Amino acid sequence: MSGTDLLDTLAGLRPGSRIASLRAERADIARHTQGAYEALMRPADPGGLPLSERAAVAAIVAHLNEDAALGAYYDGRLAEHGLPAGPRWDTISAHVAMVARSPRDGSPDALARLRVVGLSERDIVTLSQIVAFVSYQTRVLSGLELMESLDG
Amino acid sequence: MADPIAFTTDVVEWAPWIEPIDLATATSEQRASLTETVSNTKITAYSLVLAHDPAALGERTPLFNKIMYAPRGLPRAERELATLVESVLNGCVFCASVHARRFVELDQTPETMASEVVARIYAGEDPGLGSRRAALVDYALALSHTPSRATAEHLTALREAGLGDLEILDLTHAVAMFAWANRLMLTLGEPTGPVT
Repeated sequence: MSGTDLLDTLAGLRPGSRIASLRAERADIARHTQGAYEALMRPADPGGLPLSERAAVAAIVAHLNEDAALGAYYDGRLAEHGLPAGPRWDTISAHVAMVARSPRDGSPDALARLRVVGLSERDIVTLSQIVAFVSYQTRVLSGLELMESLDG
Repeated sequence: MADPIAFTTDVVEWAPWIEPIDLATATSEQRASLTETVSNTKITAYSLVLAHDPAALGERTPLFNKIMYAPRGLPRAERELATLVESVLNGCVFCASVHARRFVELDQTPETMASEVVARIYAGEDPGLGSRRAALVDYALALSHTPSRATAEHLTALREAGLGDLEILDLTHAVAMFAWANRLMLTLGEPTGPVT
């Protein structure tokens, strides 16, 4: 654990500000939000889903949600790890866009395509968790930013 | 695929498209990630699928429970209402059935009224809510879209309808959590049933 909270940082919450104090009333939620981020984006063992692909997946989801702060953050992570490319990545990125934008289009065939390009059952679960987690993260951040804007 | 199941308040099962882990051969970390369950239910196929990544599951389950059950703040029935309308928007029949039942169970109004609200939401009609819950549903739906359509006007409407800051934060967390939950449920398996 880095000790800093990513969403506090990205929302620009100053320690002791009204919204920061409000968030502290739900400290367990903030802690597990950060914990999920660490588990998915800084895993001890990335298995078959390398950090470059994880960062690229998160960046796609942040940008599809038009979240400038989160998008820039994951672009930065992506720059550290290098941009994935090739047919495997094309298949993964198409799946990611579907899950982020229109999850009702999920299907067994969609998962079969991921297996064809080498993802294990565990990798598919992790991939889905990253897309779903960043979908969560951007909405928490949006809400915090909107609350901050009214306090301005 | 079988024909899609219509929205229902009956109990629906969920069948994974991923091979769940086998508890008999699970690692200690996988077992540990399953000790707490969502809404304190039994270990389901869903949690056995998510246990493929125990580190993520071990954070997500307590996060889910804190968001839906933490004391004070937004009344639990209204957390359920927000996640219900979001689940309908996203097309998650399984999630909607669970949270429609919880909403009806927790709502303080006579049960038939909550049931009517659910029926209207399922039919895509105006649920006929008072100003507080109408503002809550408007914000929940706006925030559910990709990208979000939530604006400062939604927040102002929530405040004018009497929601306090902690309630607005709780509402935001509930909607955000179901952006997560709906996506897992919709893309890793499918609803089966209803079970009668």
